Amino acid sequence: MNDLENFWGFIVAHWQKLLEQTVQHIGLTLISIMLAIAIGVPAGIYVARKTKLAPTVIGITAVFQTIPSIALLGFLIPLAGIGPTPAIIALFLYGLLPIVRNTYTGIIGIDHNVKEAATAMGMTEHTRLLKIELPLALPVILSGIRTATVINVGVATLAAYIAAGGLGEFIFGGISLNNTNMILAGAIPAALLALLFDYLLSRLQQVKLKKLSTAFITLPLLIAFSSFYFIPGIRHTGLLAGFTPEFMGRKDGYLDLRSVYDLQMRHVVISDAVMYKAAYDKELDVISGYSTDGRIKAFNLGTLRDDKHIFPPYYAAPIVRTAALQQFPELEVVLNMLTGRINDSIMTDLNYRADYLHQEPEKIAADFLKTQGIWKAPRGGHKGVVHIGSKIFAEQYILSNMYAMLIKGYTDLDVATKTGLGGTKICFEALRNGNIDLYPEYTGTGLLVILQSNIATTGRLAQNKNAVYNYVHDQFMQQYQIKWLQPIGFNNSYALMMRQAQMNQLAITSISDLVKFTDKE
Amino acid sequence: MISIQQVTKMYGPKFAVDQLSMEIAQGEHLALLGASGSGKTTLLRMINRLIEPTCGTITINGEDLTTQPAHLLRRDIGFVLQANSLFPHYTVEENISVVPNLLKWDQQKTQARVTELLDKVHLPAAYRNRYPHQLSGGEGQRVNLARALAANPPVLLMDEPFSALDNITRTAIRQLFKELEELKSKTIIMVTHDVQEAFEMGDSIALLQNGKLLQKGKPADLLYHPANEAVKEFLAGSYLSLALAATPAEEIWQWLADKNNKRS
Ligand SMILES: Nc1ncnc2c1ncn2[C@@H]1O[C@H](COP(=O)(O)OP(=O)(O)OP(=O)(O)O)[C@@H](O)[C@H]1O
Ligand SMILES: [Mg+2]
Repeated sequence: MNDLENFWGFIVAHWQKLLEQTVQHIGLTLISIMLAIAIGVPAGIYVARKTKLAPTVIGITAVFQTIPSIALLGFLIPLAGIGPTPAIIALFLYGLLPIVRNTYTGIIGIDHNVKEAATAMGMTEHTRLLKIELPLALPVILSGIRTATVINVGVATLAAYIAAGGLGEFIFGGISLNNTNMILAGAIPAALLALLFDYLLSRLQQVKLKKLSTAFITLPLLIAFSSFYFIPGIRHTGLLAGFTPEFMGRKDGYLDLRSVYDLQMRHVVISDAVMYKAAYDKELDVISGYSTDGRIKAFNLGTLRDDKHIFPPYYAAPIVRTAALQQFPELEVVLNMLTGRINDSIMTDLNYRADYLHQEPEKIAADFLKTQGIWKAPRGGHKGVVHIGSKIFAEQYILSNMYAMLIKGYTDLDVATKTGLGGTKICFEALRNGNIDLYPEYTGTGLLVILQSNIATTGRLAQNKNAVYNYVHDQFMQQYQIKWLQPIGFNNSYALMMRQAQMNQLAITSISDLVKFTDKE
Repeated sequence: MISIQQVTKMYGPKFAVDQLSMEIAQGEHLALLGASGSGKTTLLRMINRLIEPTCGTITINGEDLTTQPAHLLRRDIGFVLQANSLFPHYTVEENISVVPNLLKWDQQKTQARVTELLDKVHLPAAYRNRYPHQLSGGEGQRVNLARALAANPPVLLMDEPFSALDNITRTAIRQLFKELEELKSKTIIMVTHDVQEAFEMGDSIALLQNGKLLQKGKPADLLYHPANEAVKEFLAGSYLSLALAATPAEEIWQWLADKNNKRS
């Protein structure tokens, strides 16, 4: 009951945002589907005439569908930038296969005698297509459109990764902020949209469509509907910021940026996977990054000085289930071996090797342990298996590899890694449920995202990284039976970043400079 | 009226129709007869250009078929296929109105024509709003015929129009075809591989074998004056029943009388 009230409370508090995202979501889906119809139906008709081409054309559209959606978006960024354009292109490519294939099979599947009769009556190719073939194939074509639409409602959630908006903003924001209500506020409307579109199209399918014109009545309707969503012009004048969903929801993120600095700036929500590159490509001017990220160096970005201290420094440390520590007591010593060996600049350099030099995280980890003289060949023990997790970014991959090597070299334990758990919530839930035994976490994330500490607590602890460490250490132990081991040594904190060249040109070195600049605009 | 001159159709190295010539007169009801694969369908379809000949020419009223676009030619030639060639998304009325609509007849004229044709093929007027899946096989074929006749084409082509029907229905429909006043004046070419049917329906018969014309003539000619052994052989199996069908009753009486006279 309480959960339901919470959820309802979230909806009430964020209904404007929800409405906006829903409209964006509908817009992305409908625009891309209409493009897919506009190209896919004629293509299907064409290959139904030239059947020799059919396997090739349908094969090509099938290839688009096999590309994982996130990868497809990734490929499109260099070509189409960020924002709605690449998202619509990707969704369009996804919708193509079912529409082309069903148009083709719908036409091919019409009784040969019926087609022949039409020709023998003296219909031209064109008339036959319009009066006989398309109406008879229409139910099949519509079911293709239905499939494509339902797929695209789902895939459109990923548009949030590349600043195209949609309900994915809540979904991914909720995942990285450990906010179930936020996830549901995005997921439930998305599911309802899929059901709604599916229902409407199934109704359309049942209408006896004698004349094709009846079907096209719905077309202007769709166009009118999707025009609610005009493509927001990404290339306005002035600076544009890109913030991650997590940053948007954190107190030591966008919230303090507004309240402490009073920064009023146009911004979009974007995944950290593509954010740095987008800044480098001048799609974005300001981004919210992590201070140790290797891509800062890789993409020639500069960090703005946090002159009002809203981004406190936080420790990174492995967090481990106490159950695992009891089962394998030798674990703690081994995991603490990294303590004091990695400072800020070393971590940044290690990340740089992964992000810019594209070295394997495994190699980076091994090289580092060797230079430190603590690398040992695996013992090949089978006393038990330790499961190590990591989030999806280089630093986490490198650290989890180091832990794996240390455990294999110094104990008789074996290691299984589950890398690429996409966000704090997923990683932490995996740990809590015993799917993994440990992963590297940051005290700030523990404080704000996992414990969701209130403002009084965070205010009291702010700026003192040891106090934060002690607080999360005690709370995690009490609430979750999860132990924070010793801090590794480097600090990680949020930072605003810009292209170095632009910082120089605009003479911006601190966040206050940025605020002054945007106010003038 | 229809003149087929030295027409050949090849599929790869195979002759489906082989240097075939024949004349079909105005108002002739010709049955194209022959074994399976003998080229009947191929020949028929070359007449409305569903198939283009490899070489040779076909003329109607002296005019080469290729002088006008194929789709315009076809509007003047009725075509009846086997069953299930009705447009499933059209009502009976809409099916029958296809060619009149292509010819841009006015609505009233078309509607009147549909009423007239339904009556002629013995279907209740209420059937005009039915869809093909609501018709029996025989009823479907009646509509099919009505559709082919709708715009009053001078020529009617039919490819085994009765083959998909059961025996009783087939007899009834054949009867309808024979009695239908509208059909009498038309030039009709009907493909069949059923010898009985050819003799019953055709006032002339063209017998094909391996793409070649063996003989064309009146049923009785084929029977009593076969051009060659092949014709004789083809008809041998059903000689007696054909003889009865092909010979008018008076002739039989005459023949019997002659026999009696000779005996006495
Ligand atoms: N599209 C085609 N491609 C290749 N060969 C064909 C094609 N159409 C017909 N043929 C061949 O041409 C020959 C004549 O075919 P056609 O359909 O005219 O025969 P038919 O007399 O109508 O036979 P049936 O009584 O079985 O319908 C056959 O041997 C057939 O295999
Ligand atoms: Mg045939």
